[in-house]
Amino acid sequence: MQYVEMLRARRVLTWYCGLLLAVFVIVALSFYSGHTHMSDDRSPDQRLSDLLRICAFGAMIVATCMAPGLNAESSTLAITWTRPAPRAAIAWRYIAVDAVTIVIAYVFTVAVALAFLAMFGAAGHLTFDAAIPSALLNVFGVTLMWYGLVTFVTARMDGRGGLVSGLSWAAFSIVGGLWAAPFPPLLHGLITFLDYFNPLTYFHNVTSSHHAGNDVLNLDPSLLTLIAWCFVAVTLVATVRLWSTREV
Amino acid sequence: MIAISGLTKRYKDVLAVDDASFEVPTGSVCGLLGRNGAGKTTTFKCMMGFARPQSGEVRFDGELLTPKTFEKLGYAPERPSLYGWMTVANHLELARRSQPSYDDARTRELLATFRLDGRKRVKRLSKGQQTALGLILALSGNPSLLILDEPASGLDPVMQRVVLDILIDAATSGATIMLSSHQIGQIDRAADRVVIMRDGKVVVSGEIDALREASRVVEATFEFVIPDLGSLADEMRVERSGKSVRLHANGRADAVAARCGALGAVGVRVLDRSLEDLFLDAVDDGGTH
Repeated sequence: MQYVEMLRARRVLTWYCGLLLAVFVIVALSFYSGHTHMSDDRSPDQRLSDLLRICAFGAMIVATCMAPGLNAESSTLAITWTRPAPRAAIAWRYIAVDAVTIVIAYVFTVAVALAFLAMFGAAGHLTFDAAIPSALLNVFGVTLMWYGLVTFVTARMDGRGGLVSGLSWAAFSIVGGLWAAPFPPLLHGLITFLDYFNPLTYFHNVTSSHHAGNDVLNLDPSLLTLIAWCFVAVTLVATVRLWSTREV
Repeated sequence: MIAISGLTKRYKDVLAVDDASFEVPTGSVCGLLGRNGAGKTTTFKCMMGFARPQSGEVRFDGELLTPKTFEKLGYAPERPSLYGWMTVANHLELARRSQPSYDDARTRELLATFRLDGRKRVKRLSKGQQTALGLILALSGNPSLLILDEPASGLDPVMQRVVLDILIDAATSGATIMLSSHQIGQIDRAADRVVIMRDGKVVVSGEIDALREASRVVEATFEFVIPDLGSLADEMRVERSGKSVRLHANGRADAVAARCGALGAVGVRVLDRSLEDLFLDAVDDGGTH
């Protein structure tokens, strides 16, 4: 039954990896034709955990492309729900396919990033640091939290999942950005409340003393990651429940 | 066998299906008829588990609907429920992967019958071709139970006939089929039973031949005036027009005709009624026709 979602994943990965490769080829052509030069004042050492964190945005893009998968079934439930399999099992299989797709996209993004660094001769400056496992946990926690929130919100909607997913980028970016603005206490409190549900709040640089979002919650980075994973669990369980018990 | 008992589905203040009960015996083709909004599609939705009824139950071969039921149950909805971005072949692959009883040879045969190109994307298919693909998917597992909501909608007359032949063949092989259609001629040709709904209620249900027999009308013409019909007038609906009278015989046409002859009728005719007549009588709300 997950066949349809696998076809969707193939389309998304084809587009995403194709675009990333195209960018890489253009930059490579520009580099080798002498139009692009490396600056000499680069930092000698680059932590791999930093690179892994930057590449999270690739995973997030693909996550928001895959998140409307269950929602997209709203017009084809007569096929999806007439297969000899429990609806909840169908939903979990869709989610599993999406999770694998996100991981593949992330690995590909990291590979392209490494290729960029190699092309510019900076790959040798990468250092393996102890923060890599926690960085990966945070990256996937935040990415899947974003995915879970979109699937949860769109679980019972008739279509328009793609629109919600696209708007989530604007919504999370704006809400995250507004937190630092000097608003009156009441409005500031509302924005803070909204930021609790903002995946970017839980996205942090585990190797840095300054965290992108943890000022909102002022919590330990590992706790932020844990909360993000809790969101993942709750939103996905709720999504499966909502989707598999909806009426058509 | 499909058995529905006491099915009631309400959407806010609209009673879409009102205490519907009927049975479709194994190997039978049952037509579900009704005007738009009569509750046909909602009944199908309740049967397929797409909508939760407030009360009542649906049993397939004696069992309530479970995911396993779909191993032997095929369904084609009113509007083809297909993935526009996928090809015809993708849809068949989906059926092959998800349906344990998928019959590849049968599916290819149906594909050839409906002249569908496996490489074509569904969004490039005509409405009739999409309907045909929906039917192929419903039939691909050789189901013993088939629920079809307007199965011939959008098909040309030749393909409509092909679809009816396929359904009749399936029923001959023992499949239990329930289909809805606004084209009464299709139901008349394919079905041996009918359920007619009005305002969410089942108003007629049974074998078409028996219903026809029960609804035969006796038309008697008298030379001067219509005499006192005695107990006949109390037992059945009587329509008087000049020197003629039409008696709705309630399955006793021959006996009523003999009574009319005994009362001095100069001409007595027993009129057979078509399924369309039955339908129009059943859905008549007193002012439509």
